Amino acid sequence: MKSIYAKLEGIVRSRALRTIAFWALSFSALAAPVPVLADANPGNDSGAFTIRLLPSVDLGVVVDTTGAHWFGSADLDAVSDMGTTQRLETGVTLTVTGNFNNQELELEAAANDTWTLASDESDAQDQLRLYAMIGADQSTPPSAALISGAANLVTGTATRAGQPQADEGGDANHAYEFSTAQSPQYQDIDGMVVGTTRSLWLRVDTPPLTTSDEQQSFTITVTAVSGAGF
Amino acid sequence: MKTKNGENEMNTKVKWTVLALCAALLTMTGKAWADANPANDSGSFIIRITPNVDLGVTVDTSDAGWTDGGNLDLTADLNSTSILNTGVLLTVAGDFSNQELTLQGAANNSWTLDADEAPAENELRLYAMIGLNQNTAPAAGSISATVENLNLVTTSAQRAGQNITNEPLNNDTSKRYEFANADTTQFQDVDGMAVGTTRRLWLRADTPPATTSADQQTFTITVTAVTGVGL
Repeated sequence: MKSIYAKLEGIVRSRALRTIAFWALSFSALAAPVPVLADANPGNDSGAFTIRLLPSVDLGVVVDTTGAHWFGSADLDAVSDMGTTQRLETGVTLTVTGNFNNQELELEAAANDTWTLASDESDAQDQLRLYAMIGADQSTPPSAALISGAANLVTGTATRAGQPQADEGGDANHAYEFSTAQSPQYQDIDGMVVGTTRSLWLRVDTPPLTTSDEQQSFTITVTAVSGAGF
Repeated sequence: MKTKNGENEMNTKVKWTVLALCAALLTMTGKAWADANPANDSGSFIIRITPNVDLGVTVDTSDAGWTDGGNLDLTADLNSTSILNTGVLLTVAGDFSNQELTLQGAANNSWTLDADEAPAENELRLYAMIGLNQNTAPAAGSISATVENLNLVTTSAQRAGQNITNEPLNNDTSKRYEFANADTTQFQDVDGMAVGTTRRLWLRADTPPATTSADQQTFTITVTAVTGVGL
């Protein structure tokens, strides 16, 4: 039977041995290559989600009639014979505002008295033909011939100015827009950026006959709309 | 109803339903955008056109006469009545399609124009009526004063027709120089006439019972186009 001293000596030795063994194993582990861990189900290792930001854009247009006037008139009021043509000598200035850089414009008009707005180019009693064109912000008035055509009549229905997106590279299907070769009046009115300025030109053809000799007023509304996809 | 291919039909319905839902979701999430400030999207302005209208009437006496084949010169006994056998043709002209007419007479010699229906020396009673453009002369009874001497042509310009209050009532109230509605041979409205409208002007002259002059007496009748707006 071992003495207590011997037992204690055995314990001390075994601890010393274990310590040595521990450190030896530790160093060997450190010296060995990192083991590759396998993943039994990689499909759940990550998750993704989507955030959606809807730009709350601001479209806008400023309609400035300062200085705008008919030939022979000081402003937008005119006295006109029947069956005659009047046109603006100085156009109405339009400025695109807001923060959306793809804006287009719609034109719409309302007849406020007894005359109506023509939707075709045939003469009719008490019907005014109101044409419009939008172009470069410059001061040379277009001739009456350049402000004509059924597509350029302003009616009670809001109509987009410019071209359909499919035609924007060419010279077809203009509404309220000059031909691309028309200088100095032409300037593109599709997809306009903020700060763009344009001139709006009007022509009115009074009816050959009327049942009223009183002043007839018409409200023209210009509205900014998105050009995205149009 | 169950059919031989009922299962396929059901699958087709499910597919269409799924497609419709997908389309609805795309619409809800992909294209909509807001406008932060819609108030500045548009601007308006007003143009004002004042019609510079042209009123007009053409007075054609080429076939008018007191007698068949005659003209507007007449030899008449005193205190007698003469009526045009063919009326004076009036045609509304210009570009204003709401015109009416006024009549005014002027005595150019010693006789005067009567302003009432009482016979008086040297006063001619000159009546007028305007109606349908046709050639049957009205009877003397149709060309006379009805009330308030309304059909006498005087030196004051008087508007033919009715006032605007009575016009839509299709009645005979307060007519001047206009036949009764029931006089279908002669009547045609003389209010608010359009350009191109034609009418016949008929005259009746009642000479005075006595005169101090044996000279020819001339009278000028003026027909003037005026606006019918509000009148």
